[in-house]
Amino acid sequence: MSRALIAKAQASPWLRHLGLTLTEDQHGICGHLPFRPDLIGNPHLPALHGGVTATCLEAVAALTLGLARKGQGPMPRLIDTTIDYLRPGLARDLQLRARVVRAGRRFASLEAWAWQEDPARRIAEARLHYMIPAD
Amino acid sequence: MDHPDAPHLARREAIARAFIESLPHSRSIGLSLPVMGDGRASALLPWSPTLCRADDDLAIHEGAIAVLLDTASGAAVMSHAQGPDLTATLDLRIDHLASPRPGAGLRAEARCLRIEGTIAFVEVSVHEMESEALIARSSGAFTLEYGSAGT
Repeated sequence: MSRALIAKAQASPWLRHLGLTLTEDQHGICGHLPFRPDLIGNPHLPALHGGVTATCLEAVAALTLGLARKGQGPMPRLIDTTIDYLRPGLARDLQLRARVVRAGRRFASLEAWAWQEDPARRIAEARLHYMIPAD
Repeated sequence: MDHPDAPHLARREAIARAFIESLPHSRSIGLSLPVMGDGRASALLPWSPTLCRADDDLAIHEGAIAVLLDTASGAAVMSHAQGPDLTATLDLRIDHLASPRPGAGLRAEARCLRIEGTIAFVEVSVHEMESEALIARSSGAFTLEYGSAGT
């Protein structure tokens, strides 16, 4: 079940364009974005584009929620995202995780975070809300 | 009559445009900034297959909308009269009000509301290019750096 959900998420043209890979281990879904020069958003630092980091946080959160719902029922719809950029994303690979804070019948709240070399030094954290459409 | 600060604003716009056009990621997805100046920026993201959510869902992905919002915000900050030499996103809140239709391109209008110390406050709205339907909006804080690269 989870393999099919992961494969479907990863087949997204936009995520393929960025090169995001999604895998599952005992802690849940893990996102990995290999660094590429064209992902730069600030050529003077240089730093990853904030929108690229946002995409990856959202992708890991959406898949984490999909797995928690065992791929059943209607597709949750993203309502809003709040992202804190804690440190500049350097010209290195990005790692991501997410967790379900609360999933009810109609809404779900997720948290996602990103780091580069040291998991204790997060470069970004996001809170995301999803609406679960009525069947 | 010309604005008394016209030369300064033109210089600001040139700095902003050079900054934004040097962004490899924005260029690679076809994002353009036709209007920029005095703390405001318009950004266009024409639809392309690369931007889609899924092979069977041809709406522009929420993440690509985030790229559009973030880039437009940065451009608005850079073009402000008190704009910096460099800016970076500190936080960004995005509301996804509606899903864009399959095949629809998007237009963002960003406005730098205020610069206070080393922070700029920016709001953005995103509409479908043709229907003008409101798709998303954002509110963000951006950090400013002066006197470094970019001038």
